[in-house]
Order: sequence, then structure tokens, then C-alpha cells
Amino acid sequence: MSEAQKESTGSQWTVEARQLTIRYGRTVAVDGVSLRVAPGEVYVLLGRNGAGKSSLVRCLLGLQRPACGQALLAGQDAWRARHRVLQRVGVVPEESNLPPGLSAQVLAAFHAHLYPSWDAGFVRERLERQGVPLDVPVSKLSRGQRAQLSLTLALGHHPAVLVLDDPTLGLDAVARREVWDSLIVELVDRGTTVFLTTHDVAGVEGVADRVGILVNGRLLLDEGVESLRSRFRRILLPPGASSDSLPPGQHTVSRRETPLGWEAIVERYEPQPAAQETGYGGARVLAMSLEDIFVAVTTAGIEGGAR
Amino acid sequence: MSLVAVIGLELRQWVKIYPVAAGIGVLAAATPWLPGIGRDPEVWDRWLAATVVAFALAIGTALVRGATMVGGELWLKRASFLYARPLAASSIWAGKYLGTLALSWGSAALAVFPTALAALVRGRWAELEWLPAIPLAVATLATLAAAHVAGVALASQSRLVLAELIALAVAIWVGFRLLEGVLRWEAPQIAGWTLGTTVLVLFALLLAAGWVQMAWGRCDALRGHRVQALVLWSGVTVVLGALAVWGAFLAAATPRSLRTVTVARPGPERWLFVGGRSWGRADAEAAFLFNTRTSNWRAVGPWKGWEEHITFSANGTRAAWVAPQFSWGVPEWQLFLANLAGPTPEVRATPHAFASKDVPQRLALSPDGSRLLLVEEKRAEVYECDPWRRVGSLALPSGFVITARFRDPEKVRLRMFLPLATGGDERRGEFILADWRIADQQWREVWRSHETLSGMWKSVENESGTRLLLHRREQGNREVQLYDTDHGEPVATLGRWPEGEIGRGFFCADGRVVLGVREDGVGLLRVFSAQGVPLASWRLTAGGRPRPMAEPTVGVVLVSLPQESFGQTVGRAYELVELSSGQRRPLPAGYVPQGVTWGDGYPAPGSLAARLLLSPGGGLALLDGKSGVITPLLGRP
Repeated sequence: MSEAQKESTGSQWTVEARQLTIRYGRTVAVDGVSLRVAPGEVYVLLGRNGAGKSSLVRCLLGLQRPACGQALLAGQDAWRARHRVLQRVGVVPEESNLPPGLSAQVLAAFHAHLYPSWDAGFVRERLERQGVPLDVPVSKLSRGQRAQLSLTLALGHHPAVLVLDDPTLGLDAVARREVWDSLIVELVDRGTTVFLTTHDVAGVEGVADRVGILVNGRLLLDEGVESLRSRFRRILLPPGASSDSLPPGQHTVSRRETPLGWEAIVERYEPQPAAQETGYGGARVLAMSLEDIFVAVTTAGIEGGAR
Repeated sequence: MSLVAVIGLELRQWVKIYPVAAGIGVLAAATPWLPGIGRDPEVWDRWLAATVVAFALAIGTALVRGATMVGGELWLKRASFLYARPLAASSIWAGKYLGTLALSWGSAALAVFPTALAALVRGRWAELEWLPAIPLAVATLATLAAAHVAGVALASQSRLVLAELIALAVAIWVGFRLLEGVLRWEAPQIAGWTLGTTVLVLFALLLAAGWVQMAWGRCDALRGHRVQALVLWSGVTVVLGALAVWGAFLAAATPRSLRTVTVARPGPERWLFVGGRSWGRADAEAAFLFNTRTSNWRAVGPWKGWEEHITFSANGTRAAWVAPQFSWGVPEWQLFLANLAGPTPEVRATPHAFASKDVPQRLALSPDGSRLLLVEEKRAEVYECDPWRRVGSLALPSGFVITARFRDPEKVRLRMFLPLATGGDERRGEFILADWRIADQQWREVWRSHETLSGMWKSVENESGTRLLLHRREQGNREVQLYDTDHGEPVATLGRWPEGEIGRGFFCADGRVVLGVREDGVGLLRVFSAQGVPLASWRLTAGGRPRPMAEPTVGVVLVSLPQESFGQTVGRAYELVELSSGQRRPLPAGYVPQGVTWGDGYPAPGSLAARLLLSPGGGLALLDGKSGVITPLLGRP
């Protein structure tokens, strides 16, 4: 079997993890995670600090070798074929890893040597548009400018896959918005596959096609965003109502008493006739944001939704 | 292309070192003009300053960049910048190394450039040879590789680092001990090969460890450290193991593995001190005490001494020798004793050690082996061997040539020569024989005569020291006289020959005297009785003067016969001559009597020394004086 055959797995998925486990000494950072990202899909991996997101990303990029399992990028083993497969991948790290003494101009020239498809005009235009000076060393750029520079350098060769590891970490609200907006404008329409980790759940709500939630190294949830949204509801019961008087057939994830009454999060929500919904002591059924679902899942430990 | 890009990136980040180096280089070139530094010798000042600066810049850059180019980036979590690009690990590794070397060497070159320019402008091209370019290049690369490995180890924050530091100290200690085991052979080929190979392998290991870290560790500092440690420590174990095996192989030489004998000092009967080069050990020379009858042997370690520093007692029960002991940088000579009474020699080092300049000129054991005489430049000392203690010491007059040997355990016979410094071709002086009674701590003169130095060396005593064969210079001739040294009286004059026509003779076992002379262009072996009466004269050559060398068996003398062509000696043949009949038996071609004279002595009749031959292949063989049969003993026949 040739080296190329060993590296190629015949996978139809752009990004794939197969029973991926990552250990640091005795600590298990990622525990048997399997996930798949289809071409053109925007996959958002959510998780609290230390959940294992960055470790997973490093494995997917071939920067780190998993203890067991396999990480595939564009159908190839990320560890074995890293430098070949990265020709088609753009990477934005969690924190800027750009050499601090070099300017955007020098870095762009360096990247031009690495990627045959490097689009110097696009890079210059984008940096100017984002207000990133070309001749100032990275160390003297603001966090937002550094994030935009990283993003621009990752996009400069028009990658088929973009891997972003919490690209808005440490950015202010405006800078965060700019990053997401530019992503939406420049990527989604192009059909670029995106694998993204972030803490800014609200920011990616309009971008994500599919969401994975990592808790303590285990992938608790891996599901399409629409399906997820339709599955979860917040139900508010007025004061005096019993917390047991919820619509029948619901699976209650959590419930708590508030000054305004009872609040319950339910999974596998089945829509009820309007009369019945209000008949249970005046209950109100509300849709949940991705952030609310993330909080509910990470605190309650709900599983499910694999492909 | 990607390699060039990485090199370029490395250079762009640290390019500011170049103007700094150039500035320092100008300062170095201006050293003679700096306040407080004289202009004389200006060239040396300048080159010294430039060289120091070049080394400091190159090594400093390699050290800092080596530690930070990977370790620092792992620590700061910036290592992923290159790994997240389509760059092969080998390109990243080579790019970083080459980039750093370009910075190091470039800055060193800039630092010496002004000094070199100043030399060239003045036409002093030869000064450029002063720059130690190759050591600088090698030291820089080694520093870079070591700093890389160390930087990653620190960045990993692994608990193993502390254990590694301890292991490193142990490995260095063990390595030095093992190297000492090899270097103590003081064999330049072996030492050069061993040191060169060890350094090269360690150097390659460092480079390999760095490469493995970058290829297999990538952005995982802990894993990177683990794989580099695996390579490094496996390699170090192999290197230490190889050194241990190599040292053991050198030490495992046996008399049977000897190929070429370079030292052979036979004892009176069975034991032979033999040393030389053995199979696969290049110029490392091992020495042994070898029993020629039983083939028992005992290694006595590396040998770099001289045959004069080995002696046996007349009864063959003890040997003593002085051999150098390897210690880093300080040559030290140790006196050893061997008890040969048992089947296997018991060797022990005496507490007596000497600096090189103080190594004794002569060693002698008493006939019964109980005492040892050491003759130094201005002092003779006698030691009891068991237990080791000094029993006598005698101050010797300065400027004398002295040899000494025991007559019995209580008495030492001294031969001294006092130069008169009268000039001329030969050193004339007084030849003195004296007996030193050890208990009395003073010597008594038994013989004194005016002699030449060569005459003194040619004169020999019989085994008991009662007779002296003296070569006296008389009106341009050599007169050979036989003296009774107990009474200081002449016994007989054996003859007078022109200078150069008479060589050294010796006393046979039965008291007869043999001399090799040339008379009327014919080489003769002259035989005299113990009273100096001529007994026989055997014609041996048509031209050259024969030289009697030893008496392998009673009544048969081994003679060296020069082979001459147009008046020049072009070779030597060796023959056994029966004294009573003159019957001759030539030795086979290529066999040479082995070292039959040492100092003022000659081989005891019938002794091992009188029968030992060097074989044509460089080994040793034993001659049967009666039959003339030669038996290979050691080494190549």
C-alpha cells in the first residue's frame, strides 16, 4: 500500500473524527469523539473552557497526534498528510500565533510562497478594508487587527476548508461582529466548509448549519441547528401553578422556581393545541436560542443527535 | 521553495543582529586605537578581539535562537504558525536551522569583516588564516542543536527533565570513565578514532533528536520532549555501550592475539614481559607477563614504556617495571611489582609514582627478588619489596653516567663515568666501579681508570662481578684487558686492535671470553680461557666484524655477521657457532636475536633472553641452541 493510499481513507466528509481520543499524560482531554462535517457545511463546536475543543482542532489539523482514533481532513489522515492536505485549508488559531516582529506585508509575501492559489489582490484589498496596516509589526496591531490579519491570511488562498479555533476570543463586541459578518459574507456564499469552535454562541447563531457540544471531552450533542431549535422549549408557569402541570409527553431537562413562577426546559417538545397550552395554569411556551440550549445541555448533560 | 520561505522568515525576524554585528566588528577592528590598549602588537589585538566577538556572536545567537526557535514558540503557543501551513516538518526543521545558522555565521562574518578588510588593504592576506572558521562553524551547529533540545525539554515542563539532568550528569561521568579506559592506551589512532566517532555520533544524535521532536512532536511539547528524549537517551546508551565494548575489546587482548611484538624483555627462565600490537586494535599496545613454558599469562595493561624500565630478579621469582598511568592531562608513572613464584603472576602497584621528569633511569632487582634498586639522576634507592619500604638511599655525584645492579641483596655494584671535558671526538673521563653496601649507606671504590665513554660502555663484567673485560684506548688502538675486580689486578691482555676493529664481547657460562674482531680484513670470533689464554680463533666473514651476542646453550654462541657491499654494511646474518669446533649453523633468514643487550649487561648464558628471536612476521620465537630448531612463540611467525 502506497503512502498516499494509507493517507487516503475514502471518506466523503470534509472533516471527520473517528473515535478520537487525546490524552495529556493521564488526563483525557478528548474521549472517543466521532463527528463528521459535510462539504459546504458550517459546523460549530461548542464547549466550556477546557472541554477539549482546541485539542480536537489541533488533531484535525495534524498538529497533534491522537492517543487513539483518527482525524481526517478532506478525506486524508490529518497526522500523516498534514502538509499536503493543508494546501486546501485555512486556519485561524485561538490566539494569534503570528510572528510578532513581522508585518502583514511580509507575512502575506511568505504565504504567497506556500500557496499556488494565493490571491495577493484579495488579501491587500481585504486588509485595507478591515483597516489593518500593511507595514506595522504584528506586535503593534490591536487584537481586532490581529484577528482580521489571521483571518485574511487564512482566506488568501481561497481554501476549501476553513478551521477556526475561537477566532473572536478576547475581542470586543464590535470586533466580534466584524469577524462574523465577514465570515458570513465571504464564506457561506462561496460554499466553503467551516469548522469552528467558539464561546460566542450568539454570534454564530445565524451562521451555523450544525452544532456539536463538547462536555469534558465527550461530544454530548451533534445535531443540525434547526432540528436543535425545534427540539427544545422553555416553558414558563405562573406563580401558584404546580411544576407538575406541564403539557404531557414532554421530557423535562430542568426546572426551577423563579420569583415569577416556574421555569422548565423541555426536550423533544411536541406542539400542543393552543387551548391546551394555555390551559395548564397559564403556561407560556417559548423558543430557545442556541446559547440557551448550550447552557441547558452543558449543565444538564443531555446527549443525542448524532448523524 | 517552502524551505527558502522558512529560511527567509527566520532571517526577517532577526535581521537586526546584522547591523549590530557589523558595528561590533568595526569596534573590534579599532581595538588598537581604543583607550588603554597599545597599538603594539596591533595585528594580534585586532584579530583576537574580532575572533572573540565572532565566537560570542555566533555561539550566543545559536544558543538563544536554538532555545527559542522551537521551545520558545511551544511555550508561547506560536509553534502552530508554521505547522498549520502546508510545510513539511523537515522543511520547518531545516529552515529554522539554516536560518539560524545564517544569522549566527553571518553575524560572525560581519564581526570579522572590518578586521579582514584592514588586513587585505595592507596586503596581509596571510592573516586571514588566523580565523578559526571550522571550529566556529562546528561549535555553532553543536550549540544550536543542543539548545534546541534543551529548549523543548524546558518548554514541555515535564517532570522527567529533572531526572534527565541527573541522568545527564551520570552519563557524562560514565562517558568520561569509559573514555579514560580507551585513552589510557595513549594510542593516537585509537584515541583520535574514538573521540572523533563519539563526538560525531553525539552530534548526529542531537540533530536527530531535534528533527524527531519537530516531525513527531509538532505542536505537542510533551510528546516532542518524549520522542526527542527517546532518541537521545537510546543513542547515549548505545554510545556508552559501544564505548564500554570498545574499551573491553582493547583490554581483552591476549598474548595470542599479538600480531607485532614491540617490546619483549625476557626473564631468566620462564617469564617474558611482552607487549605489542594485537588484532583489530591499531596502535594500542598491550603488555603481558607470559610464561613460555606453561603459556600462562597476565595482562599488565597498556604499554608505553621502555624495555629499560623492566627488570627481573636472577632467580626469576619477581619482576618490576615502570609504566605510565593515564590521568587527564597529568602524566604519572607508576612502579609495579609482580610475584612470579606461583603459576599466575600477582601484580601490584607500589605506592611509588613519578612525574615524567623523575622516572628512574635504571631499575634492578636483587638476585633473590627481595629488593628493588631505583637509580634516579642524583640518587639511588633500595626498597624492600615485601612489605614495601625503603631500606637504603645513596646520593650520587652529579654529572656521572651511572648504571647499577645488585651483587647480592646487601650489595650494589655501581658503574660510574666522570667526564673530564677535555674535548675531542670522544668523551674522556674516569671509569669507576664501586660497591655500595646498603647497610653502610656509603660506597667503596673497587676500580678506577681513565677511559673513554665508548670504552666504558663496551666493557663488561661477568655474572658474579669478579671479572671485568675492559676496552682501553692505547695510542689510537683498543686494548682489551681482563681484570680481577676483587683485587684490582690485571689478569691478562687479550689483544690490541685498531679502533673499530674490536667490538663488545662477553663471558661465557664456563668463564671463557668471546670477542668479535677484524684482523687483516677478516672477521674472526676469538675465544679465550677464563685466564685470558687464547683458545681458538674462528674465521666467520671475509670482511665485516662479527659480533657475539649471546650464549643460547653452553658452548654455543650466537653471532651477528654483517653483510657488506662496497665497504658498507647492507644487512646482517646470524649464526650459531660452536666454540670448541667452530662449527657454524646459520639461522633461517628473517630471524633476529631479540634485544640481547640492555645497558651494561648481556643475556645470561642459556637464559630465555639468550634464546629469544624476533620472527620475520614481527612475532617471537625460541631458539634451541643445541639443535638450532626455532619454535614460534607469539605473534606472526
